[in-house]
Amino acid sequence: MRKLIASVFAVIVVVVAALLLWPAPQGGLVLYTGLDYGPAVAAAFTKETGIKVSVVRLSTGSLLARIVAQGSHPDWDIGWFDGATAAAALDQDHLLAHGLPAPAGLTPVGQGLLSANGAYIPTGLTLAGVFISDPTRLPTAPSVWNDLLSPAYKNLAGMNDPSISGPTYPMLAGMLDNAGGWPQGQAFLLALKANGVHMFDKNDATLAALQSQAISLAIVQSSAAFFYASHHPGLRVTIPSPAYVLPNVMVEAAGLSARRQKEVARFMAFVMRPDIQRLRQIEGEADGEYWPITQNAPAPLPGMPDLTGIHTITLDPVKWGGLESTINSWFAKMMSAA
Amino acid sequence: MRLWRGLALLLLALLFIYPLARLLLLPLAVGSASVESFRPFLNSAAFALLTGCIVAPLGALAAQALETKAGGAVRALGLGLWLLFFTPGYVLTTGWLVIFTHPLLRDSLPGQLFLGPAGLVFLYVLKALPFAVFVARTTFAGASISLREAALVLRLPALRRLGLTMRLVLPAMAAAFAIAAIETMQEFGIPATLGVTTKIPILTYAIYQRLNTTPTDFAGAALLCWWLILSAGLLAALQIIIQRRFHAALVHGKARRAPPVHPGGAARVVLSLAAALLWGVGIAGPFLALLSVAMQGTALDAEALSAIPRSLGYGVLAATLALGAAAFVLKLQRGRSAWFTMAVQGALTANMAVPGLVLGAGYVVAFNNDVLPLYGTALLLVIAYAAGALPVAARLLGGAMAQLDTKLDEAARIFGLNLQTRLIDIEGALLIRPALYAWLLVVGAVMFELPVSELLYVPGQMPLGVAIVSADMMANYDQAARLALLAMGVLAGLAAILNLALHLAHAPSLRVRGRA
Repeated sequence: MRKLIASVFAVIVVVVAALLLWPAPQGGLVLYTGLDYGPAVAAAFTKETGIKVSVVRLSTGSLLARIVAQGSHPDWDIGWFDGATAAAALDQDHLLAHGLPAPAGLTPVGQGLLSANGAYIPTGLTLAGVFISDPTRLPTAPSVWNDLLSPAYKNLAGMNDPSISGPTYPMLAGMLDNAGGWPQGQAFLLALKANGVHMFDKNDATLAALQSQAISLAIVQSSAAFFYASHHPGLRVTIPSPAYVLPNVMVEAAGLSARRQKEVARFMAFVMRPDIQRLRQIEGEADGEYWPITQNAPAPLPGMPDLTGIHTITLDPVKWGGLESTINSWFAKMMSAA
Repeated sequence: MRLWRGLALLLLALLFIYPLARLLLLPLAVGSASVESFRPFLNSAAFALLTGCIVAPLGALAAQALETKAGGAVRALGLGLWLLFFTPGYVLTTGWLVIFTHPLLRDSLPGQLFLGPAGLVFLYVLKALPFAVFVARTTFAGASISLREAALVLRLPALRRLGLTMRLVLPAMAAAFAIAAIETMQEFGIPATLGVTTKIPILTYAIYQRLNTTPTDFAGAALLCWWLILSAGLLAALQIIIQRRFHAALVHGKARRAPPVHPGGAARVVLSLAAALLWGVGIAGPFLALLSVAMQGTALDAEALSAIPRSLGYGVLAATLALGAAAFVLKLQRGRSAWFTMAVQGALTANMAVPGLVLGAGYVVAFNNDVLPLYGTALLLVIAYAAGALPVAARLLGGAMAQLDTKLDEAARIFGLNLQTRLIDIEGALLIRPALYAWLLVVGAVMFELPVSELLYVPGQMPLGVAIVSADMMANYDQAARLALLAMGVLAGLAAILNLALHLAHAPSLRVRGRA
């Protein structure tokens, strides 16, 4: 009996190994996406063109770690995530192709987001930090960043930790820029800490704290705020002045074959088509709450204000990308630990 | 034979040691990495030692009850431990978070305690307890009735008898302590899900910071890993010292097993309370909370659902590979010099101490080239899973294998029994229970594993851990909860089937119990 059971077990292991380890046929594109609509867009592209797209869906931080670990032997073709600063950092490591074709019909805001050497292209934009609050507990929401230092918001505000939440660093850079740059802006952040700002790991934790009334005001990425507000009626989203632009960008791995480059270019054009942008909005969950940057694109989702009425600033991704490690280390040392 | 052993060792070194070594040596090559603060290390060490100290004696007491006592409370305790064993840290933490983030409870004293260091220790202890029990159980399962009979003949008082039993179980307790402490030190999921890392810096959080920021700092992360390895090395050394000082050959051909007895009076009340507490705080609380989340929302999509059988398959392969490698290394250790044992233990400890994200990065760096182009294949993912699980598998098997009398194999050889019979009918039969516990533990851990999966999974073939986190990231908390609960149901089914197979195989310990 023992030998029979051992034999059955061995056969099962061999069958499982054959099923899982048998090499899949190569071909098609490999998309690394940190954006919720990535898999849906990839499926639509395959359906229309017949070109297979294999997707790796991860948080932006893990996605970048995977790309950096691969170095000059990339197993990916296209990267799609939030943050031009992250793209600039990858480019500084010589991991990206240059000269990507700019999307057709970009608005002036969209043109302002293009990289100088074509290392990345913008595909839409969100705002790095907006305020979401409960009017029943907080009748007046802050309107500028310095309002957060007022005693009226003492111990009431919460934000993400930039070391854990990738898209939070651009917001931090925006706060520092607004307070005089780096390192002058440290004083603003220390004052924010003195005013009792709470720190959480990511958007979901910060918004859960808002819901459980641990805080009354959450400072999060605009896409997360609008999505959460649409599912929790009664919450109010306020856009600070100035608001810092956080584009979602697309990059191409360095050293692809000419044929693969053509397929990548086709995919990049595909994602900017009006019907596909509509798909991104519908299938994108929180990431669908973005402002399109092409002239023929559909309007932003209901509940999102017109971008023309917002005072926005686009930070230099190369300058602030180069400071990310230094600023995050300082933040972890001075702000995160109690 | 010697050549084959050498080749096998070389292969193990290439697959399990080289990738990690290559990444850990990065700080030496780069030379610019530095440690900014020791506070995360001190916090992590304190949590690890506290968890180990709580879990090791609790585990030994529970193990003794499970192996020597009978009755409904014992069965409930055993089943509860199995369920807790399969419950990923994510489920435990998220379940309790759902409860304590309710506005009414959040500001209460239990809520405040849970969202702080006390909550961390509570979750660490819950997660580590089954490990400790299963490690200690192997010792009690092997203990012969003759020891108890001798104590009774000599009219030793009950307290003295308990002391003698505890002395025998010290090596198992040391193993449980080391496993619990090392696992706690390298645990990131529980503190990250609980969301306290911003207030209580811990070492794995500091490592994650280095890897989650741009530019990604692998050298800095590797340098911090050396602190984890050093701590784990000290704990492992302590375990080895205790194992050598107190080890005993409990399993041999003449061993007679003590039949379990029904406890009476106070013992029955204590066991019932322990079982109720375990079921309440370890299973019912978090499960019901998570179930309430899972009941909302839409049905699971096919892609997310396919992650369960895929990860189960990965788990089966990785567990088989890890246990095979562990058994090979442990057998090879016998009769070798102390240096060989130390080298093996050192490598295993380093592997165990390193967080999955660093281990995964090591595999990317080592096998993403033209010489050994394994990166991007499911094979490399399975090897990395097995490498991560190998130290725990070796520790779970090691205690039981150390108690096997070497004369059993010698006698079998003298009688001319073939290798297959020796492996399956003698060693396999005696080791089947600890091997099954270890195998199921690895399958469960691999099914819910996240960091190695994130770095190594084959594009388009999402493992379960990534699928759950993806659902969470898209605010589909109901889908994430449903996936987790469904996968746990699958694991529980697998455990039930294998336990049935164990009964059919008539392992000696069960046969003795059946006669009693």
